[in-house]
Amino acid sequence: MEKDLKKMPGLALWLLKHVLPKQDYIYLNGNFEDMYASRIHSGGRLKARIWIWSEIIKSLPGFLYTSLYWRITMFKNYFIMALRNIRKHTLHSVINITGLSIGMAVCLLIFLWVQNEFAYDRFHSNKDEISQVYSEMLYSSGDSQLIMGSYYPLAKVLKKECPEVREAVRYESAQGLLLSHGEKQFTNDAVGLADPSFFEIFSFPFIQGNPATALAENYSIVLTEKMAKKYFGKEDPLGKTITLLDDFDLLVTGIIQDVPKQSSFQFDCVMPYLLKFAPDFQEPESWGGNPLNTYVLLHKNVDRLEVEQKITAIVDKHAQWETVKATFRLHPLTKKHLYSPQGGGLIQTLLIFSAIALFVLFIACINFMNLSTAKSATRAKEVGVRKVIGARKTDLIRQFIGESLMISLITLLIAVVLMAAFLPTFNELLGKQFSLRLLLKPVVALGFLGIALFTGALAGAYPALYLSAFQPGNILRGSIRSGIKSSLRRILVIVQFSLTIIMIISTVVIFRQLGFVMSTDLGFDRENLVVLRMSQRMQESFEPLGNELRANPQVQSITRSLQGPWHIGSTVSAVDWDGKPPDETVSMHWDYVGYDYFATLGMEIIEGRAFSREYSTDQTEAYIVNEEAVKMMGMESPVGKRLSVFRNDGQIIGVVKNFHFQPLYHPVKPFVFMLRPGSGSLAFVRIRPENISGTLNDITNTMKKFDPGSLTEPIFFNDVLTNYIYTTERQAKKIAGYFTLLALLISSLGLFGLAAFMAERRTKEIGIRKVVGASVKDVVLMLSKDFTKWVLVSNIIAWPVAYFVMRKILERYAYRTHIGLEVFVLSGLAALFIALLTVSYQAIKSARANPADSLRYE
Amino acid sequence: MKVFTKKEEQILLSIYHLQDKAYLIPIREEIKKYTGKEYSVGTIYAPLNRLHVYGYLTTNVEKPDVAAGGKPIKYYRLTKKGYAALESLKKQNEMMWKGFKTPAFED
Repeated sequence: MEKDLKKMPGLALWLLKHVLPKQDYIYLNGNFEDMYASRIHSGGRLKARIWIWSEIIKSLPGFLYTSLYWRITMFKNYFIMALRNIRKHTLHSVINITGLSIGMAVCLLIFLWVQNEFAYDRFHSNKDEISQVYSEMLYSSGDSQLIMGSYYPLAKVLKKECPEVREAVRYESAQGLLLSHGEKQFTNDAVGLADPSFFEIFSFPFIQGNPATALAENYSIVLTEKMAKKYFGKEDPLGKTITLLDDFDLLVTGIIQDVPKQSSFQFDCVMPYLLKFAPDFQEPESWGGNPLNTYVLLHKNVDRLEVEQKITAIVDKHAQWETVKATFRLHPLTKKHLYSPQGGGLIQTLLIFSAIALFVLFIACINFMNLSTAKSATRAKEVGVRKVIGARKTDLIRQFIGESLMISLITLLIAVVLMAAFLPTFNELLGKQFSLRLLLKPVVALGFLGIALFTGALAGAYPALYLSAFQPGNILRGSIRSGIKSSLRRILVIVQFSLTIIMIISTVVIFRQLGFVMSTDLGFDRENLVVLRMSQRMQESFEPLGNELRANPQVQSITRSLQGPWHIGSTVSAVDWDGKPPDETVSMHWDYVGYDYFATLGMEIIEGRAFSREYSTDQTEAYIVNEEAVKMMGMESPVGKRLSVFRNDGQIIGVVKNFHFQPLYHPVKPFVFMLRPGSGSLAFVRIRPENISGTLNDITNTMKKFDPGSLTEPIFFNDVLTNYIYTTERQAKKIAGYFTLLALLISSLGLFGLAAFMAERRTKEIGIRKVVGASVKDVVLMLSKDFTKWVLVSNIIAWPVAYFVMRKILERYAYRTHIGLEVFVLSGLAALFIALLTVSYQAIKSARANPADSLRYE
Repeated sequence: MKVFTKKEEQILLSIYHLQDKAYLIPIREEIKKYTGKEYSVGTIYAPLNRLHVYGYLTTNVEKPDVAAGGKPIKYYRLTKKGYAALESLKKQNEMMWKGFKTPAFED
């Protein structure tokens, strides 16, 4: 009992254990215990406790100094040894540092990108409680469709009837609206239309004005700082007016800070949503799909699934859709940028590229492991001596890991320089503006450091374990002849080359598929087709604009449409035709187009006729459908048959050949065209292939004539495809291309180092072989044989994996290119060829050496 | 000749006085006895260890009967180098203190 009382407090014991210098721990601890015991004797427990704690605190500096002193001394020694080793094995170090710094630079670039994308929409203080409401429509045919577009009454109904919803807001973006203040008129501001609760749900900091009431008045507008400067210069904008479409005077009620780049909402100003229905502000009560989005702010800690069910039930009660069944879902704001509700999304791209970057780094790490263990014979003596002097295994592990960490920190510096050099290219590829200033951000700096430490640990762990396990007796007696045959090294080389071959094959697949996408027949002629995004003013004066463009001899024809045939997502389920089964619900994709649409785009009308100015009824009751729609409706001769779309009766006047109106991920679906020559913000111009840049200039000038403030640039249809639709593919093509080349380079470097090492170890053997009659060819063959074998094995491993990867890459396309066995064989051969090229340099060099030189001293 | 800090000098002298009973606790007590200042264990340990590393002290571990509750104790003793250091310290001090006398103040 007495003994227990004299024991020091547990925390104090633990603390002492960790701060006391190791070599004197037992004595010092004993001293502390004795003194503690005598304090208990003289002054009681409380006094003793106070004493021990004050003693420990006062003692800390001294102990820490002593412990660190030893560590610093050892570190100095390790540091010197590491530097000596780097200098001594120049080739080895150059290969390691080059490979690792390339691998690390690649990882750093990808890390910059990933952390940037993950930072989207994180600045809202309610970010975890905000969700977007979207719906899934189920048709009787079994098809279902996700609809992000929402319904006019939804927000109001949800706020009123769903207790979990704190606030709800409608948001819609609009482009090309004419805004003016006095002389200053622009059509290039991005406009957001939102309900008054917008600024209470989302956190866009106000510089002036009150977020709660800013959008309460129907004729009001909130400007960003940038836009306020543009219209008002140095004036105080608050209380002044901005005129919308020469019609409505909007009172400036607030100034907010410019919208951060990392925001899913991008606008220059926000107006009340009701302005859409000015001047009488009669909101439609219909539950039809519309281009707006609805966001809800939920109460904290509510179950999303439950809310989704409630919303579904509420809407079901109000909307009373007969033909479709809708399920409502919530998409959290924090996921909006990365995850698409359809599955996939940006996150997939990020994951793929992170994986590729890690592969490249891993390949570089394998070089490090291989070369370090290959060179182990030279380090073995050092290990032996250290062990004899008294180094424990953990000391050696610490030393070698420390060494690789040091190399990885040196590499980090080089990698940052490399990264800085490639940053402009990378920015251009991704359309981002990363600058080196990002390095000052703690997340980035720590991330970079983390990558370096991870690399050091990954590359250094195996060599450290391998080297530290040597038995000093064996080493010093000289019986360790390590480094020539090592099965792990063989495996690592095979892994390295397998990864490289997989990357080569995947890159080829991506290249081929993008080539296929860009060359496949879309059902219309996409060459020399120019797209114009028209501003409000240009849309209003489309007739004269079109006439003036047509007067240009280089312009063949011009038309307009509501949606672009690169991605038409809107569908209509209110379709009816004679003979439609009553309980069948279907959907058709649709578009409003102008005259000459089919001629301008070069679509083929296979039955009937195109829309024509000669028939005045075409604008109200004529439909042109595609072959797929005919098939769905099961019509024999569709022309002249009755068709009702949006509950508007008309007849089919023509059938257009199937064409791709969506990216090739999706199969062609039924489609119906309606003639609306007065609507649509897109114009299509077919130009002649001669003097293209001159024609584009003319087009721009004509547009300027009708809208002086217009910033619209004519853009080629094909560029729309690559820049806006197949962006991932375009980026993937470039990035995968570069990264694969780098991976190949690094693996070859490693092989080069290994070959050099092998040749060095076998110098004498080669000498003897030559003396007894081997030719240069024999020796080269002998030295290359192993490597050839390894690369061939890599091929066998890589092919099935690559096949699987290829399937995954092509899976999302409904239309895909054919990849034959030849791609696999050729990729494998390419890897083999490059491997042999690397190895043969060393092989020929050592085979041609004079045997007298290598055997002179025997 | 290395210049010693005051603390190092005090430690060396305490060890000299304690002879073969010099370990951390008595050294501490000894210094307290002469100067009235009670250093913490860590504050003494750091210079003590440093003196040992530089070869002014040797150590000798005494392992008592652990089963009976005794603890191993590390004793410190002056080496030849340690004595030489004290010697030169003494000389330096004597030279510097030579002829020291407080003059009479008139108050």
